Amino acid sequence: MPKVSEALLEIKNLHTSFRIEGQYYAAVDGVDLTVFKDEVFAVVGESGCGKTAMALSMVRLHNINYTRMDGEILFHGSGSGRPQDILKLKGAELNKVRGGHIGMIFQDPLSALNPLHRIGQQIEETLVYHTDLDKERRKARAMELLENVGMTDPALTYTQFPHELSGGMRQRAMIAIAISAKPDLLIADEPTTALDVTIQAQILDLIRALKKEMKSSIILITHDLGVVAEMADRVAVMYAGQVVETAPVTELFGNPRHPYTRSLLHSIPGAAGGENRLHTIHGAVPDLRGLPRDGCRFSRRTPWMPGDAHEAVPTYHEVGPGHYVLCTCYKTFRFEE
Amino acid sequence: MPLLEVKNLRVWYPIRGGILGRRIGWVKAVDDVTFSIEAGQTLGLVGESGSGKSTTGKAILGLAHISAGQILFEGNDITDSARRNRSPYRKSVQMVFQDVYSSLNPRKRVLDIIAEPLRNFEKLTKAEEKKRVDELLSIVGLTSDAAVKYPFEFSGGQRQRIGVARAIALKPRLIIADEPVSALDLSVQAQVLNYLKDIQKELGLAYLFISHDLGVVRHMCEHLAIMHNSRFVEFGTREDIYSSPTHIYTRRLIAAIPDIDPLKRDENNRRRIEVAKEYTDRREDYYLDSTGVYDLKKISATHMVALP
Amino acid sequence: MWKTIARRLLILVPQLFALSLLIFLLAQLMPGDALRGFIGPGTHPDLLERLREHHGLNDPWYQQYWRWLTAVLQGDMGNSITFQRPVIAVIGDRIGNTMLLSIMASLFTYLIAVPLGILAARHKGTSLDRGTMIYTFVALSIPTVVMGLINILVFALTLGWFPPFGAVELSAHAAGGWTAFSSRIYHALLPAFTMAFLGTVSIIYYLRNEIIDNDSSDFVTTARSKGVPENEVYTRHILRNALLPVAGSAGALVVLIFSGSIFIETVFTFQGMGQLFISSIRGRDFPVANALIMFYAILNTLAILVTDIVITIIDPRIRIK
Repeated sequence: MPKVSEALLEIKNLHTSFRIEGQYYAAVDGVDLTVFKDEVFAVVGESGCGKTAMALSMVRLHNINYTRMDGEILFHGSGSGRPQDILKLKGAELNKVRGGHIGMIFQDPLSALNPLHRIGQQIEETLVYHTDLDKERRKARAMELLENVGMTDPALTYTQFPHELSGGMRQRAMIAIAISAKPDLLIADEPTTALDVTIQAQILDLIRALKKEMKSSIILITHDLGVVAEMADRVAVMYAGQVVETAPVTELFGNPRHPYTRSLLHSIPGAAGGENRLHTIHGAVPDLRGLPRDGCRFSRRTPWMPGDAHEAVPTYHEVGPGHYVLCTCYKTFRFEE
Repeated sequence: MPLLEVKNLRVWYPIRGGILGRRIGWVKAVDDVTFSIEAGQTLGLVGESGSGKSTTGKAILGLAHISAGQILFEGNDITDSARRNRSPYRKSVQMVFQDVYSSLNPRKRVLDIIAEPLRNFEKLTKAEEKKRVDELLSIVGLTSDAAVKYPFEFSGGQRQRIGVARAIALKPRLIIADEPVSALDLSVQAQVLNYLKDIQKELGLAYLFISHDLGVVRHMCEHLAIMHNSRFVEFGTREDIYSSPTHIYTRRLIAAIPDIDPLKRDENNRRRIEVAKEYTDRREDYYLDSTGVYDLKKISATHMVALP
Repeated sequence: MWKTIARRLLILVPQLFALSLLIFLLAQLMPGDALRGFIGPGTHPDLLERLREHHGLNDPWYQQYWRWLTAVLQGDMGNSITFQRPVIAVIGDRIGNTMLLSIMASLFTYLIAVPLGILAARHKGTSLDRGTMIYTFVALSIPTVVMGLINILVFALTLGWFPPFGAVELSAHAAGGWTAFSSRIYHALLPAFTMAFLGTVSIIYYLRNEIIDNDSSDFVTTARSKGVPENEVYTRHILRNALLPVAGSAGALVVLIFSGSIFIETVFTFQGMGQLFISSIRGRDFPVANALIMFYAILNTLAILVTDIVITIIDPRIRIK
C-alpha cells in the first residue's frame, strides 16, 4: 500500500435497486467504500450478496428500465481536477469514463466478447473512442497490447475470433481491451472463476504485473478467498447488500472479526484436510425479495446468539487501523457447539 | 475384491475428414486408464478441463462409448452394454451432476424427481413410495414438505441435495459425482460435502469424486488420481499427493492453488514461478515427446507416478 | 468449405436417384396409366394393347424406369399428356411467373418483417410491440388459402385495387416489353403479399427476441463498458448480431414460399408451377408431376445448402463439416 493514501473512488451510501414485479428491491443497500490510488481492493461475498450489482453500478451498466440508483460515486480520475459523481454524469461524459478511465473485465470472456468481431477490432473499438490515434496507429497499439498481455503471436490473435482462442487467451484479450486506454481503475468481476486453476494463476500474475506497470487501482470482485489472499491490499466482505467488514488483507485473514467473515473462512475445505466436518452456516442466503432489511442481517444465520448481542441499527466499529466491522455482535460471537 | 475395477479403459473418437469422411485420426479422450475403488471408499479424480476426467465417469456409467478396456463391478464384467443392463449394475451405480439447475426436470415435483428411479426399478405402492421419498429427503436434510415443491423453489445447495437424494434412492453401492459442488457457494458447498460424507458412512457408499478443486478433493478423498492429457499422471493416497507430489503436472497444479494466508503470498509466487519454469523447460523429463504421458510406475506401496 | 459443398452436391445424386425411383413406383401404383388420356369408350382393346406394347407399358417396371431415367439424364423429361408438349416446354412457360412471384414474396417478407421486428424489440412492452405480436398471431393462425380468398374478396373484388386472377393481361402480354412486365408485377402483387404474410411471422419473432436478448447479453455490456455510444452499440453489436439468424432462415423461407405457391397460385389462378403441379396431379399427368417433384426436391436441397454456405460466411463460429 502506498504511504499516503489518496482516494480514487469514493462510494457514498450507494443503493442499487432492481424492479421485480413492479416493486424495487435494493441489491446494494447502503454501501460506503473508498478505493485508494494504486491498490488492489477486493470485494468478497457469496452469490446474491450484491458484489456484482455494485461493480456494475460503478459505471452504471445496469438496464435503466428496471434499475434505480441512489447515493454518490465520486471518481477522482486523472485529468479533471475535481471529482466527478458518476451517478450524475450525462451520456457523453459517462462514455468518457467508461473504458477511458475505468476499464472492466468480466467473468466469462467467451460471452463477454462479441462473437462476430475479430479480437483486433474489439480492442481498437475502445481506442476509437478514447484516443486520437489514426487507423494505423490503432492497429500498432492493439498489437502492442496483445503482446503486453502475453499473446505469443499478436499478429495472429489480432485477426482471430473469440471462439478460436482458449479460455485463458480470451481472458487475456479481454484484459487487453480493458487496459487499452490506460485507465486509472480496473474493475475485474470474477476474472478467473471460469478458468482452470493453472490458467487462473497465470491470469492473476498478469493482472499483478500490469497493475505494477500502470500504477492503476484494481477492484477485484470475487467469491474466492484464496484469490483475495493472493491479490488484495484491502478487502471488503459483503453480505445481503451491505459491507460487513473492511480490513487490510493480512488483518482480515489473521484477525477476522465479523461472524460472517469468520464463518466463511471456517468453511473452506482442504485447509485442514481430513476427516473433520466442515463448518456450515445455518439456513441459506435469502433471495433479493426476501433479504432482511432491518437490524443485523446476519443474525438470522446465528440463531444461538442472544438478541442483545446485536445493535438495533448496526453501525461500523473500528477495531484496528483501517479495520471496520458492522454491528456489535462480533464482540461476543462464538461458533455454535 | 474391489467394488469397481477399471482396466485399460479407452475412449477414442474418430476424426473424420476428406470428401468421403474417412477416418483420419483419433481423439483420445481417455487413454489406458486403470484403477479400482473399494466399497465405502472415495477416489478423487482430479484434472483440468479437457483432461478426460468427466469422460472417464461417463464411460463407467455407459454414457460414453468404450473403445477398449474392461470394467468390472463386484467382479462381473459389465463393459458390454447388454450385460450392464441385465445386471443389478444400473441400480448400484448412480450419478450426481454438477449443474444443479439443468439436472432436475423443472416441470416435475421433487416427489416425482426422487421417485423416478424407484418407479423404474421397484414396484412400490403410492404410500410406500411417499415414505421412501420422505426418508431420502430427511437423509439429505430436507423436510417432507419439500416433496410437493418444484425445483425452482429451492436454492442451489438444496437442489444439489435433491440430486443426491435421487441418486441414493435405489441404495446404490457407488456414486459417480461429477463436480458436485463446483457451482455452489462456499457455505453451501460445505453443507453438501458434509451430507455426502454422512450418507457415505450411513450407507457404505463408494464415491468416484470428479473435481478440479484440489481443496474439495483433499477434504473428501483418501485416494487421488491426477489426470492430464487423457491419462493418469499420478496416483496415490491423500498423503502421497499433497505431501510429496512427484510429477511436474501435479506439482504445478498444487502450486497454482491460491493459499488463503496472505503472508505466504510472495513465497507461493516464487514457488509457482519455479514450478512453471520447470514445467516448460524440463518437459522431456516428464513427457514422452513433450506431450505423451508415460505409464505409471510404482514409487512406493501406494504411490504411482507417470515417469519414463 | 469447397470440399463440403462438393460432398453435399455428391450426396444429392443418390438422394435424387432414390427419390425418382420412389416417384416412379408410386406412379405405377396409381390406378390407370398414361394412356388414360388417349382412350375413349370406343377404343378397341387390341388397339389399346398395341399402344401399350408400343409405349413399352407392358415391360417390367424396372425396364420402364431405366428407359425413363436414361431419357431424363439426356434432358428428355417426356411429353405432357394434358398439353401434348414436351414437359420441359410446359414448365418453361410457367417458371418465369413463379420465380417473379417468389422473389416478390421474399422481398415483401423482409420489407415487412425486419422493420416490424426491430420496432417491436425497441419498443418492447408498448402497444406497438403488442400490436406486432397480435399481427403475428393472426398471420400464423389463418391458413394461407383462406388468407388468399380474403384478400381476393377485399382488395380485388370489393376495392378493385388488384386483379383477382391471372398472371398477366393477355393484351399486355401481346404488347411485350415494359407493358408486359409491369402487368406481370401488378398481377403478382396480391398473391405475393398473401404469401409473405406467413413468412413474416418467424422472422419477426426471431428478430425481436434476438434484439432483446442481445441487449442484455454480456458482449453488449462489454461494449457499453468500453464507452461505445448507445446508438453505435445498437447498430454494431445488437442489431448486426440479431440479423444473423434471420439471414440463416433465408433457405427455410424459400422452401416455405415455394410450397405456399402451390396453393396460392391455385387460389389466384396464377399460371405458375404451383398451379401446374396441382392440375398435373388431378389430370394424372405424371411426366409433369414427376418433373415438378424432382424440381422441388432439388430446390429444397439447394436452398438448405446455400443457407449453410451463407451462414458460414457471415458467422465465423460456424465451419460446416
